[in-house]
Amino acid sequence: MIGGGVLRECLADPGVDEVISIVRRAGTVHHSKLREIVHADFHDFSSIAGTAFAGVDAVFFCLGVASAGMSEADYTRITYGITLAAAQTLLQSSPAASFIYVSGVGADSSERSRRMWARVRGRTENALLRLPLKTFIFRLALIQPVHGAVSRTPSYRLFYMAAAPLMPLLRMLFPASVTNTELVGRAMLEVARHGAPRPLLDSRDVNVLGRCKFERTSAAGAPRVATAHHAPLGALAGIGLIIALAAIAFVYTAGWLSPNRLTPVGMVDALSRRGGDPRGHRRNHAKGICFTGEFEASGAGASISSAPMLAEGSYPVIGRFAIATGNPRASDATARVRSMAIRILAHDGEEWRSGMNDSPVFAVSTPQAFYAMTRAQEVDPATGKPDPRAMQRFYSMHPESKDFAAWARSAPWTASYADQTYNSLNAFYFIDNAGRSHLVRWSMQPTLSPQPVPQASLATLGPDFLEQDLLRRLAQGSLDWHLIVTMAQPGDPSSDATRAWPANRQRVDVGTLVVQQASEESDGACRDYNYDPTILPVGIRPSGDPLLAARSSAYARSFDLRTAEAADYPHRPSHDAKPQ
Amino acid sequence: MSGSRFTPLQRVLHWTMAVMVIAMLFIGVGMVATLRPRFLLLIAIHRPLGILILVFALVRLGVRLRRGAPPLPADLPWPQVAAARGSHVLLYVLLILMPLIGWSMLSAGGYPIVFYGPIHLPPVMPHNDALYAVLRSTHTALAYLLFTVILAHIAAALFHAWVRRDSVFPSMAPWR
Repeated sequence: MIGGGVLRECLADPGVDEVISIVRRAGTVHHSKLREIVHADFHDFSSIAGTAFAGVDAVFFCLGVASAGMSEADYTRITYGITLAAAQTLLQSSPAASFIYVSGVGADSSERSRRMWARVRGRTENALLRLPLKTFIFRLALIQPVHGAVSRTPSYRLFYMAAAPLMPLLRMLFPASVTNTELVGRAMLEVARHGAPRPLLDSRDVNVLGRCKFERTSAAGAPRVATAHHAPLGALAGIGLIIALAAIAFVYTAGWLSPNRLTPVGMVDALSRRGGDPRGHRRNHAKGICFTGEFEASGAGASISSAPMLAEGSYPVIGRFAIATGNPRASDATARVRSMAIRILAHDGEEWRSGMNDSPVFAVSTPQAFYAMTRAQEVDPATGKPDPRAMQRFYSMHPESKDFAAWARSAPWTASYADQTYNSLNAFYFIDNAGRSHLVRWSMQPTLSPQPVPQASLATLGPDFLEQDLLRRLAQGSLDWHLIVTMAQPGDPSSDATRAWPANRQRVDVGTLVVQQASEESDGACRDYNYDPTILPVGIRPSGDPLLAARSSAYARSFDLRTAEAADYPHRPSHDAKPQ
Repeated sequence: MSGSRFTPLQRVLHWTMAVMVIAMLFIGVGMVATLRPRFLLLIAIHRPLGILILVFALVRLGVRLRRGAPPLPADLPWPQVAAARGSHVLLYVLLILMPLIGWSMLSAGGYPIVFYGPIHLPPVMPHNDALYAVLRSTHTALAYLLFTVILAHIAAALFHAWVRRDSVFPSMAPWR
């Protein structure tokens, strides 16, 4: 195979006058420059020394056999015996010529290798290098046959056929181990003409030497060897493989190969299956009402955070009260959890968005648990209701939810958004002007005290009593909440929203939220805002609570969905909704 | 343009942008598919990287208009010439359009456009739901298109390097 490739390059090279090929049987190649000498005994070249070895510039010794199944004596007789016979004959006939020998990577110059072939190859190499000849040894590994070169060894032939599509990739990845018959031939010519920096050359050297010649001819303006039509299949397959791998990596990153991965799409889909028709609406806290107002900062927060809206002053707020439901037409009496979302805008464009619930702790601490809880609330299309046992099962498997469950069972119900405390639940870092960070949570504490109402009587107030109550109260004047920041002590959990911090933690009243006006969501300024709790000003950073990233990601998905579903959003004239 | 290669500046711009744009596409497609904490990091990279790509793309377009490109091989069949010209125009259009759509989309969605820390960019579109919805889906669709064109670009580059072995790949090769 190598001999065939080398012969081809020699015949193609305009600088080569004559190629003498010593063969056992006449070959199939015919060329005006080729002189074939048929010789039977490769252990003794003396009879053809004058015709084949005298007056030559170089001998390219490409003969070799596979060692598999051979005794050391037999392998030595061929590998060592024939090579040295040829080299000795050359030394006597043309002592100034070069002898270029094809060996294998792994040949052992110490001759002590445990692998027989490596010992014999090493012994042969050493014997050659001791001769006063210009000897160069190519230690090759993987040789890609090109231009129709074929190995004599059937198992190699099969291997090269199978490996052909991978060859360009292998050449790129392992430049020191892969070459091809064309480059070997060109490198031999290059070495015969100009020598090489050292006698032992590996595939990388061969590739460089083989290309030297190539680039010299093209630089001189000689016609390039047309290669476009030679064996493009391997190269094409290599390109296809690379493109396919890139596409698979992309698709994998997109999650299309991992149906079990918890994604924002899956989360929001689950949130959307909790009854009613949520299209066009937020997928959680789907029913709500917009408000506007001011945040009047006392300046007390400025020492613990550099957030611009904590400096003394007044900042506009666009907010939203809502109930935690997936159904935008749910009755207000059905929702245990109520929420307040705010967007405080500073003069320089910095924003603080926050979504807060009226429970003192959150039900879960991880997105996975939140997903499980959401699935437990899924409505069965047959009954129109969730499976009543599903939530019990969820609680039994999630002991971290017990504080939330206890609150949900025992906390008094009220008939108003206005008398509730809304808690950030997740922790955040406040960064002060000196760059120190403080772990905090915050709450909106009402100035009205809660007016407990029996849960049973809420249903008699009508489906929208919370919105009506808010509009009624705001018609008489604004409603105030104090923004209370709670400072953690070392050891307080930063990443677990199911656990409250001890009651004795330092609290800082950083200002007053003045809610001035409310309006139906369809007309309200809040509708087109995503209350992503990670949209924070300088001076406030998310903690490591995994819920924060999950909220941000899922809220974005919900926002993308509902903005694209504008056709499904009911745009009602504003006077329909306002109570008189 | 004289010579058979792109200028060193053009090659530096090309390979820097190659890394940025491929990273950007993977970050983009990965971040919208995760709820994990890395979401926040990915989006914090995605936005400023998009602006950087926009700046690089505009600089690159200017350099390209001034310095041109080496000629394609004379023996390249005309359908391949057309594909090469068309795909490069498409690449320039997408590299400039994608960051602009991202920026517009955040504007229309009422999001702050944070470059880094306190450095914000002004909104370039009115805060509008319907506009956001169109821009958001366009951003995704064009991202898939951009990735597809980049795959075609890589395949064509390797085709020139390994099959045709012509002057095209060396003209943009990062070495020598």
